[in-house]
Amino acid sequence: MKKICQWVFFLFTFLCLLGCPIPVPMGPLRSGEPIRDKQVVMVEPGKTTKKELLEWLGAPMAIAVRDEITVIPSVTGSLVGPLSRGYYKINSDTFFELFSADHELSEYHRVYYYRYVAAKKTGYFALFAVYESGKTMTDNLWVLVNEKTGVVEDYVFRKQD
Amino acid sequence: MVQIERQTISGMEQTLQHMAMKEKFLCSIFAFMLLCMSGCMVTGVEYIIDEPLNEARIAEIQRAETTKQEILTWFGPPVAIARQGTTMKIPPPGPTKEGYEEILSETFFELFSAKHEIIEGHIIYYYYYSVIKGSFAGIGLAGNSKQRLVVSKLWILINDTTGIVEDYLMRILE
Repeated sequence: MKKICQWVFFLFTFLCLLGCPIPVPMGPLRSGEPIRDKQVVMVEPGKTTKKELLEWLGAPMAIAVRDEITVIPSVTGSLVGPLSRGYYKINSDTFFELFSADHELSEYHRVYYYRYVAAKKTGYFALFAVYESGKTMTDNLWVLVNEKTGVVEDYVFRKQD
Repeated sequence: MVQIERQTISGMEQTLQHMAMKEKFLCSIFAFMLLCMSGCMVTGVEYIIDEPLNEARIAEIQRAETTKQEILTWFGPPVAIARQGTTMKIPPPGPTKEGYEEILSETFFELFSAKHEIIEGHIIYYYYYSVIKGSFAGIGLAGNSKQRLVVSKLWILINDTTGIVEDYLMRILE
């Protein structure tokens, strides 16, 4: 009788586990340097110089020149692997559009583009079932620099929550 | 007296045999279940690749009211900007985004041409974000996997002279 009770208990636990997904976080996998709020706050449009910007934030991911194509390394979490890498090309106009309303853009203007990517994956495991979900989180910083004066004129920071 | 004892012992033996049978039966059911399920695996995956377009924000877009600046604040810079008579270079949606596709801006303006008189000052902001959805079901050595890329696309028609959004369109393509 005792053994039967043990079997029943074991079977019950087994059946419970079948429908009980256990979330297991994987990663996060990161690319680039995190862009910290306190670093961004230090940037003062009209005062901060290009030199200071590079000292605080390092080399940008890309520098956009008007009417040119900007080549940007792409990093995303994917099925193929934790992170897949490549390059994509984008019209620089899209970056300059951020500043077009408040600035008269000239041939001397550049947009320094900083990016931090964190790809997170979570696996949910039940006995014979696995569900995986992943998300690529990107923080972007676009800084408008006047190369002639060497001064930062504006910036836009977008942090993905 | 001896006969009664023999009867009791045989009764106990029968009960024990009965219990052993039951135990064997339960064991075989359990073993059969395990055999059925061994090598059986179901998986599902979902990867959000780009920054998702905020649906609440999309619902906030008001035709003839929302400004270009608001759109840029809500969604960031677009993937591409369509201007009449130009060719756009658009990175393809998906995990790698390698290279770019060259698309005539006219194809985007066509989306709004039925409802709007397209003028020189019109531009279109184009946004997208993609999600990979997949599943796998397998038993033993056989399996079936499915994978698809779901792309949500957003086109916003803006009058660049006034800086006002005139119309927008959203499509989810699988």
